[in-house]
Amino acid sequence: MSGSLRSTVSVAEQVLTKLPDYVNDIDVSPDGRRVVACSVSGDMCIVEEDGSVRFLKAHEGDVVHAKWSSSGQFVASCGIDGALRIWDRGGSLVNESQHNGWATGLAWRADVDEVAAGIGRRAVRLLANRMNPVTHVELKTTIESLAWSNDGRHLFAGHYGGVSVFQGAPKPVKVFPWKGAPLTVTASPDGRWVVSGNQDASLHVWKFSSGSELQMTGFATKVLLVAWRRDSLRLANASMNEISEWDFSGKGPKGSKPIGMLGHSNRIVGLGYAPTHPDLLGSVAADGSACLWRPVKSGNSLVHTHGTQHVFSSMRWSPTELRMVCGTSTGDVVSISFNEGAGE
Amino acid sequence: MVVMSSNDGKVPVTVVTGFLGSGKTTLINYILSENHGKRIAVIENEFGEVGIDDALVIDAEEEIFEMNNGCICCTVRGDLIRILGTLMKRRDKFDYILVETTGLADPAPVAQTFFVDDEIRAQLRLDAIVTVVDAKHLSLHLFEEKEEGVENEALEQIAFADRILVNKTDLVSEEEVAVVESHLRSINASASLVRTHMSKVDLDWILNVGAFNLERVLEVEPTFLEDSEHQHDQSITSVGIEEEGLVDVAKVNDWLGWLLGEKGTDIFRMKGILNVAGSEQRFVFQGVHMLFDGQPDRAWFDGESRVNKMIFIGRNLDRNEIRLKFQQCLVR
Repeated sequence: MSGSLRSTVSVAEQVLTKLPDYVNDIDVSPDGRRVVACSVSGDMCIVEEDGSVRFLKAHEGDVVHAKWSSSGQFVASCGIDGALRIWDRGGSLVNESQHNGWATGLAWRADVDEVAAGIGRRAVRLLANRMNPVTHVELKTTIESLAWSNDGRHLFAGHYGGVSVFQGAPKPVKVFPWKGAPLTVTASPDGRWVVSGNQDASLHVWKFSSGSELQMTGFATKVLLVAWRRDSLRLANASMNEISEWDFSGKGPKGSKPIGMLGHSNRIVGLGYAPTHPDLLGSVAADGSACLWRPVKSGNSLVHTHGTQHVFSSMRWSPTELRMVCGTSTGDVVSISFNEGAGE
Repeated sequence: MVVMSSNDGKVPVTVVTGFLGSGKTTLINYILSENHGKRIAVIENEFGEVGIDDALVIDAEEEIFEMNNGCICCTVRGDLIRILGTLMKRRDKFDYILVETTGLADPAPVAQTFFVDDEIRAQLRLDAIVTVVDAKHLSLHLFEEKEEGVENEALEQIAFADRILVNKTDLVSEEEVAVVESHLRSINASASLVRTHMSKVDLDWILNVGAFNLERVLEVEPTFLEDSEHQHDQSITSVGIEEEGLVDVAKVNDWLGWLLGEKGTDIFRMKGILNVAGSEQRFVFQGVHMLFDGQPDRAWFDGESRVNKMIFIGRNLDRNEIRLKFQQCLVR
């Protein structure tokens, strides 16, 4: 598929299945053929390419996250029951680790089938093919978010008070201290930057090598959604109904103004660059709108808006086509495909 | 300005505070066991069993998020944000939320969470802060010597309260209860008090009372203590101002802005009704630390005494200074 999209876009929308309640998280397998979604009801479902669905009671209470491994062989889930679980594609339990506290911040390594979750104040790592988990030292505050570096060497844990960086050892090898509450942490694909979205409506940025930092403030609400473009040159974040894109080329965004994008009328709940069209950004919101953007400094960045009756709660792109899968507040799992139209 | 009072379709939340052993858990159990027809979620900060069917009870470990800007009013409770966040996703199944804090909890971050966190503010409303005090042991907690800089949480829990249950009255004499009540009123003159045994109280008195609704500001007539007779050796007191005259709205805005800037850390709660020059409507306001909300309210009734009434509850408040500054806001 080409990396450009003409301005005429047709959209195909389909409800794939329904979970009993609010969809907390959703993901598409690396081959684009399967979808996993999880709910506050404790249920998880795996939707096959042929439309068949396997439902699992994955956790007691909310399943907070569910994600495919990069090999596509496994699904991991974590829940407020303090459990981190690995399942095979058929929905059989492969491995699990149980702790006290809520499990959140689920993140698979890109290079091996190893998954991490923050359970209370600990980062716990679990391999698909080895029974014993690695449990890191307890931090002083609860982990809100985890992210791996692309090469799998570093695990970043965002928690009140900063970002701790783990390698193999139980203790953090590095801490980026900051008196604030990171809610989501990300590492740029090239490993240069660590960025957190925060409770106090800000983004905090650290340069990984030097630890030098900067902060972007003034967003309308706390920042829960942050996404990197594949080339690490752009970062987008959402706050309430507005998206900002920052230029991380050269020395980074210090002193620069972001590209602002307004198209939704309610809280944005899903944000990401399309893997098949890296210059396109997708977003969905609680108002039922799904938007495609091509961020430009001057002029209109909006490529297409698709309105639906859903109250979206989560979104992920398919790695293989221009297709979003979305969860909703009522449990629907919805597929939205964007297709190039017949002409300008 | 933070809008603290809008409540369209929002799920009400009652925060129950009080020292360990005062009767908080007994009150929660009593609420849950009464036939009120509500489906209630309880968030507990102290580990305990509440074995009531149909109620979800979640344990939380207190975690305070202070923000980089150092502003005290941005300090919120991370544990509550997480738990309330997940409760709201299935909000159809709950129509009331009770938050039971630990005996040592600072009520300010708990209250501020409902105004500062945007997702919570959009879906929930803080209904009231209910504080349970143990009539027999209150004075022990109130006059406990603390190291410098260490807060006396018992005092703060009383200062933040909208409703105070004077519990365990069966264990003390009438005279002792009267002394306890006098202590409570000198700290917080705007809260309503009720004497209870085993935390048994009319639920309409503590649930859905709308204490943070601007329309109900000063619904409870504050007991304005003018003299020093009731003053105790405590740093937290109530200062009530009652003045006739027309207020210059620009001046009063400047003054309140100055007051919160200078003393917002020390002012825990404030409420007031103003008689604004050029307006036939009452102007009502309230605040928690530096979070402030105010708006024109109903028209003054015919024959109603148009008196400005304000109450400030806080630490080291200078009554004379506050009164003098307010008087300078009156139209000459």
